[in-house]
Amino acid sequence: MADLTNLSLEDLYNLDVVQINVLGGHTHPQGQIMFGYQYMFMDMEGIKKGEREISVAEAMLEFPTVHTKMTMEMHMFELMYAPIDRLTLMAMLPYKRMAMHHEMMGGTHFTQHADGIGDLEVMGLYTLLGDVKKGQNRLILDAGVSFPTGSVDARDHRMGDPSLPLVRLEYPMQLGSGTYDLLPGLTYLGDANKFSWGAQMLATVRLGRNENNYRFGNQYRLTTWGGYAVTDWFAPYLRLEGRWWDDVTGVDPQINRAATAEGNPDRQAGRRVDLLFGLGLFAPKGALKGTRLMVEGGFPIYEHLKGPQLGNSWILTAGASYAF
Amino acid sequence: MRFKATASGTVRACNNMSSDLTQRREGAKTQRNQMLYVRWSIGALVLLTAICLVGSATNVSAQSAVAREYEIKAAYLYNFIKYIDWPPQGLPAGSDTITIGVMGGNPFGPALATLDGKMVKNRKLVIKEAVRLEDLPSCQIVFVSPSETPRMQEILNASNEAKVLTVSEVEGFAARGGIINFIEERNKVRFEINAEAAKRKGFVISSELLKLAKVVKS
Repeated sequence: MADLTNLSLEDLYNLDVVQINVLGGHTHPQGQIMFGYQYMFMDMEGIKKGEREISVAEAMLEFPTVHTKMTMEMHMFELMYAPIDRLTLMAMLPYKRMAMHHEMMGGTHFTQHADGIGDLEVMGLYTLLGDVKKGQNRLILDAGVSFPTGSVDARDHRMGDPSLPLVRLEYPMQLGSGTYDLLPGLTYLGDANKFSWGAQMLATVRLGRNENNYRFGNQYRLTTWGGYAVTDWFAPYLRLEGRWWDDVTGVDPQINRAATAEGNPDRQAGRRVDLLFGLGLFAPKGALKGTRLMVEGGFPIYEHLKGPQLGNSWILTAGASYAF
Repeated sequence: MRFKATASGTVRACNNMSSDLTQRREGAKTQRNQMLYVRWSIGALVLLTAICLVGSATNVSAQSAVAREYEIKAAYLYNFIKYIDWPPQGLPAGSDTITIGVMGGNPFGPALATLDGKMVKNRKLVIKEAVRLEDLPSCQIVFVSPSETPRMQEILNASNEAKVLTVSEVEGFAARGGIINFIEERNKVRFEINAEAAKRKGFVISSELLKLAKVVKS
C-alpha cells in the first residue's frame, strides 16, 4: 500500500488512476490517448502442400513458375483513444514492403516488389464485463471495419526486368483487400498481481467484391497469451496464435491463374499456428515515462497450406507506444 | 513405338525412384524441422519459467487501479487539512488531534490507515470508522461513503451543526450542500468544492485549493 501523502496537491491532481504498466492494458481509461508504432518482418520460405514441404521441382509439376521466398516488412501506425472507460477507439494504418522471389522452369530466377499503404482499420473495443480500473477479469467486444485504402493494383515489371512491361502482381503481393471488411471479435483479459493473460478471437469478414472482381478469403484468428512482470519495467510473455483463411472468391482477369500458385484463386487457403515469445519493456518514470517497447519473435509449429504455397519461416515484430 | 514405350516406362520408373528419394529427403527435412520447433518451444518455456522464478523474488508495483484511486483520495484528505482552516468550534484549541471519520462502508481499504498517527498542523491524525450521526461532533472530517446515499440529506443537516468538513464521492454531493466531492476526470481524481456551503459553516479554504477545484453551488 503506497503512502502518497508526501505528494503535493498538484502532483495528486495530475496522477493517473489507471497506470500504464509493463503488462499492457489492451484498452485505455477515459481520456487516455496512445500513439503506437510497430515494425514487423516476416520471412516465408519453403514450399508447402498440405502439411508437407515439397521441392521446387515438385511444385513445378503443377505451375511453371514457383515462388521460392517472400519477405514482408510492415510499418504499422496506431492511434488509440478512450472517450469513456468502457470504450477504446483504435485506428491502424500499415505501410507494407514486399519482395517475392521466383524460379521458372529452366532455372531463371527473378524478384518482384510491391510497396505502399495497406488497409486502414478502425475498431471499437467495448468492455462488456469487468472494469478497466479493477482489472482481474474482463470481456471485451471488438468491432471494426477495414477500409480499402491499400491498392489491389500493385504492379511490377514482368520477370522483374525493367525493360519488360508492368504486370499486376499475384494476390499475396497486393497491398490491400479492395473491399470493406468487418472485423468482429471477442477478447478476454485477466490479470492478477504480476501475471497477465488473455485470449482473443478476431475475424476478417470480406464484403462484396473489389474493383478487380474478387474478394480475399475470410480470415479467423485465435490467440492466447500469458505474461509475467519480472520488474515494473520488464515482462516476458508467451503467445500462441492460430489462424485460418479461405480461398479467394472470383478472379482478377489480369492475373494469370495458370502461371503461379499464388496467382490461382483456388490455391490460397491455409491454416497455421505460431508460437511467439515476446519481451515487454516499460518506462514507469523519467523522461520516457509512459513509453512501452516490445519485441516478439516466433515461428509456426503447425502449418497446413492448400498449396503449393510458401510456408512461414519466422516472424519478428518490434514496437513502441506512448500513452498519456 | 515399342522402344518409345519402353523408354517412357524407364523414365517413369526413374522418375518414381527420384520422386521417392526426394520425398524421403523432404520427409527427413520436415522431421528435422519439427524436431527443431519442439526444441525451440521447450527452450522458450524453460526460459520463461526461469525468468518467472527469478522474478518472484522481486517487487512489482502492478496493483489494482481501485486501490490506487483510494491511495490518491487518502492523500488528498491529508492535503485538505493543510489548505483549510476550521471554524473555532470545529477545531477546539485544547485538542491535539484531528479525527477523520468514515460514515458507512469504508471504500479506502488499507489506504486510510496510512494516515493514522501522521502529524498535520501540529496535531495527530486519528482515523475512526463506522461513525454514527451522534459521533459527528467528535470528527473534523467525515467521509460519507456511497453506501450512505439514501440518508445523505439527514447526514448533511447533522454535519451543519457539528461544523465538520464533509467529503464524499457521490455524484451531486457538493451541489446538495456537501463541502468537497471527489470526481474522476480523464483518469485522474479531481474534486468539487461547494465554497458557499464551506463559508456558511465558517471554513476558510485557501485560494490554492480552490484553484484546482471545480467550484459548484448549492
